[in-house]
Amino acid sequence: MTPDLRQALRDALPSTTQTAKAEDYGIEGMTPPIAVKPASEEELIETLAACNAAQAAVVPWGSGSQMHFGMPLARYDVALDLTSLDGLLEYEPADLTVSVQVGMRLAGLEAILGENGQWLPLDPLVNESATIGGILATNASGPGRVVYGTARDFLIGIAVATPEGETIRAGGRVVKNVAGYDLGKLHIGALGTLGVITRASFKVAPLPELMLTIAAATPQPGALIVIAREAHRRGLAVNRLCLIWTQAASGWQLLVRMAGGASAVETSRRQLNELAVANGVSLAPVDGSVWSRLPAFQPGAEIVAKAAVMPTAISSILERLKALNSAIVAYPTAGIVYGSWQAGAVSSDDLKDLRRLCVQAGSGALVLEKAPAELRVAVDVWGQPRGDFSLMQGLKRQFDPEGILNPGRFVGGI
Amino acid sequence: MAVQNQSPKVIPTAAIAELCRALAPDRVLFKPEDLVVFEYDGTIERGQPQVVVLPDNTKEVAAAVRIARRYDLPVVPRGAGTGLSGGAVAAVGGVLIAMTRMRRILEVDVENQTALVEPGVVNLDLSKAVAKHGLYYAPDPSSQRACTLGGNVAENAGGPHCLAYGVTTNHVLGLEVVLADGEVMWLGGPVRDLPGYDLPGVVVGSEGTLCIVTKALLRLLSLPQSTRTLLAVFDSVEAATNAVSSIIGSGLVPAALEMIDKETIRALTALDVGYPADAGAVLLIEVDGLKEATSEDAAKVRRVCEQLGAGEIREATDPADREKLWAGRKAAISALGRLAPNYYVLDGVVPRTKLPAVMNAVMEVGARYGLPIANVFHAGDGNLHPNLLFDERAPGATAKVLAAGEEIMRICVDAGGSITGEHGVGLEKRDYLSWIFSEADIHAMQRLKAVFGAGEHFNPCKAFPTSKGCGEVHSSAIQAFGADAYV
Ligand SMILES: Cc1cc2nc3c(=O)[nH]c(=O)nc-3n(C[C@H](O)[C@H](O)[C@H](O)COP(=O)(O)OP(=O)(O)OC[C@H]3O[C@@H](n4cnc5c(N)ncnc54)[C@H](O)[C@@H]3O)c2cc1C
Repeated sequence: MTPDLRQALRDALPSTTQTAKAEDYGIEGMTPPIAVKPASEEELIETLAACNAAQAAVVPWGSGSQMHFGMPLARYDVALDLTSLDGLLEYEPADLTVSVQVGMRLAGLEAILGENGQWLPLDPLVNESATIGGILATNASGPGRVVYGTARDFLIGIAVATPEGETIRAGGRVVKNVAGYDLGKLHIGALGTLGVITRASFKVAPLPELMLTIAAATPQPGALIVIAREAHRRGLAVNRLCLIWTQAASGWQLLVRMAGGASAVETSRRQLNELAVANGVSLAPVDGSVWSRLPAFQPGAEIVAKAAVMPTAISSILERLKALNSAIVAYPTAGIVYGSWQAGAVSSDDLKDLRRLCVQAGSGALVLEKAPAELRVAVDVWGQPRGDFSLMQGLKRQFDPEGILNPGRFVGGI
Repeated sequence: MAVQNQSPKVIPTAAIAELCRALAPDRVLFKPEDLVVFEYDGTIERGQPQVVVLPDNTKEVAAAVRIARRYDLPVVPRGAGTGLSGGAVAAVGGVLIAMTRMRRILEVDVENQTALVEPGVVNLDLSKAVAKHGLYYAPDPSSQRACTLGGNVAENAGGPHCLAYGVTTNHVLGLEVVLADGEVMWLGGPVRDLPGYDLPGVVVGSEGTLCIVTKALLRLLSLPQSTRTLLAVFDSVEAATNAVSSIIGSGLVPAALEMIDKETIRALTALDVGYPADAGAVLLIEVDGLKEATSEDAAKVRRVCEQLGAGEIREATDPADREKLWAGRKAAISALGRLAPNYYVLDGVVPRTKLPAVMNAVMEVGARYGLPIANVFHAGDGNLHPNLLFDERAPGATAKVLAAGEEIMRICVDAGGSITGEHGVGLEKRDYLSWIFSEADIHAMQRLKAVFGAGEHFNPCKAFPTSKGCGEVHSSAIQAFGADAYV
């Protein structure tokens, strides 16, 4: 951005807009010339329109914890901090729906819902400061997805600020609604490349009466996968399930959280025990805090690759990751596996091979969610676009014609 | 009484010849007597296509689309024609592509719990086919014995069990589609979380305006170990709706929570489904899951219903008994024909806590217009279906029904709800869209149409506020229905 442009942009921004310290918004050595923190949606919209007119590249900013996600930015002119837009817009507990501004932290929302015996059963293993907007934009999910699904299963309405200075809404605040195209879906996992999400409405759920985490350990994952599948097939009262492997433990562990009424939890526990015995392993209760220590989501995980494959391909992915000395977190019945390493511990060729396996054996994909920039470029975070890429390019052209939103970060250079 | 809405383009014989070559002559219909059955769906709208094609596979769909495009003829995809918003009606004529011959279940992956199907597969047939593997397809519209999975995808259909398990969109993984230029493309795929924008997510519910679905990859669920079905009898709709709010508010989300009112029960008397004739309203409540969990849940449901004045609570004792309770719910809409020559089904949604007030307001509208209303609906989701009963032969009756319907839609919107929960916007509600969406919102939706290159090639005049070329359709369609055009 030239100094002229910078001045022009400063002049065009709403006078009340708070500018923030640009140094606080550096991304991998790039510091934006301007950082703004709009205090209202109107200011946000005016800011976006001004940036669009100046063709300034904008990075919407939540807690900033996922700025390494995606390909390195092609340009970076303005950091757009959304954390002031964090209001609770509407919450009627008996409707089991809630509407918020997306600068709100998930932890804050869960606290509000929790007071009413409810929760948004989206349990991404993100840090305390992660915002709703960031979670939607990255489609973050957690070990509860095996039962509850992902953000697309909860989002019932959305408002998005466009580069052209408009707010567009889709969906609404009711749990069932087919009026108009379901545009909200497009913004989930889009990494803020089609618009800046400003508001979101969700279905929420009652908190289970009881929760109990149990664990089993074995040297080989096979038996644990069988148990996981069977628990899923029988519909046991389980609301989190994952498989982990770490070098340090040098073994596999199955973590299951049972949830529900007392007798449902008790029955599930009994059946799981029987399954465990039949498969030669033993289960024992563990402290619920294990869920906050899953390896792929710790600061030491400097490289994180996420495989999404057909559940039947899980074993081959686990085996390959183990051979690559990765730490592993897997949601076997959902076909999701995270491998993680310290920087330098895995090569780009290994990751490309792993991707081939995911695509060929698992009919799926591998996304390099976190890695140093050179590795992300060498491997390509997203992999080869598929046959529907022309429609994706079309979406970008329609909704961000100047290409100012997170340029270059998304699939195929979008 | 086949009335064309708008003077249709004359279809060149060359186009028909090309269609016959691309498909087979016996699967291209163009004689007026062959077209009559394709004139309407489950609504009051009508419109005759000039030609109907019955493709056997994706290639034939693509060929038909390309030929239509070359002759500048609109294309209307059609499933079973059970739609309740005029979606499958050829509003301005053109080529109607009936998907009913494409009804193969191509693949069932038991381990990964998915099924690859053609769009003409009937909803219930999929669940029947996979039952032997302990699996089922969860979205279960009340029309599931007839409606197609392609139509379900297009409308994002719901059903009684969507309260706990979600609607169609929650069960679609990938779609093979034909675009307006005849290109065949896969959107999404066998796994969730594929990198890129969620294209199946926007095609579901697009009412056949973006592309034609030629294959769908769907999620299957494991059949629950145990199911308990209860029928709670109340004095009034108000008491029953209060119970709905309390059940949901108690921290329990049943698998299904359906309401059937007095008027509907009256229509069902002849069927002997076992609903008490003197009830003001009944709730059909189902809980499923582990045996121990369902007995806990069933007890909770009983407690709440008793507290809120349920006079009687019956429970199905065996599968046949359960079938019988459900038979009443599933036959309810078609049984309304016993009460009046015609009925008009509405499909509004409101936040669940607003149900009691909204139901009162709905009944007040009926009383004011002198129209009896029968209610049978997905109460747990706040998705109401008031059915306005009338006789279209009475002078002015239809206009009255449409006016009352519009008021009821307004009530839903004013309560913070929506103009359609599952039946779609179609022809019927396109002018209400602007009650809930701004011009910018609607413009954004039209941009999506542009991305798909769909223009007005697919299903013109549907799902969006009336545009110039479509102005005629609405008014002439309103005069164009006959008694048999109602569900
Ligand atoms: C008695 C009765 C009860 C009902 N109950 C319910 C209910 O509980 N829940 C509910 O959601 N609906 C219900 N409906 C409405 C209707 O059954 C659904 O909307 C159903 O999904 C329509 O399927 P269909 O095959 O009949 O589609 P059609 O009516 O033939 O078409 C519906 C729409 O889908 C489009 N379409 C069809 N096939 C394709 C394709 N392959 N590709 C692209 N577009 C396509 C058409 O163009 C049209 O816009 C009910 C209807 C009746 C008559």
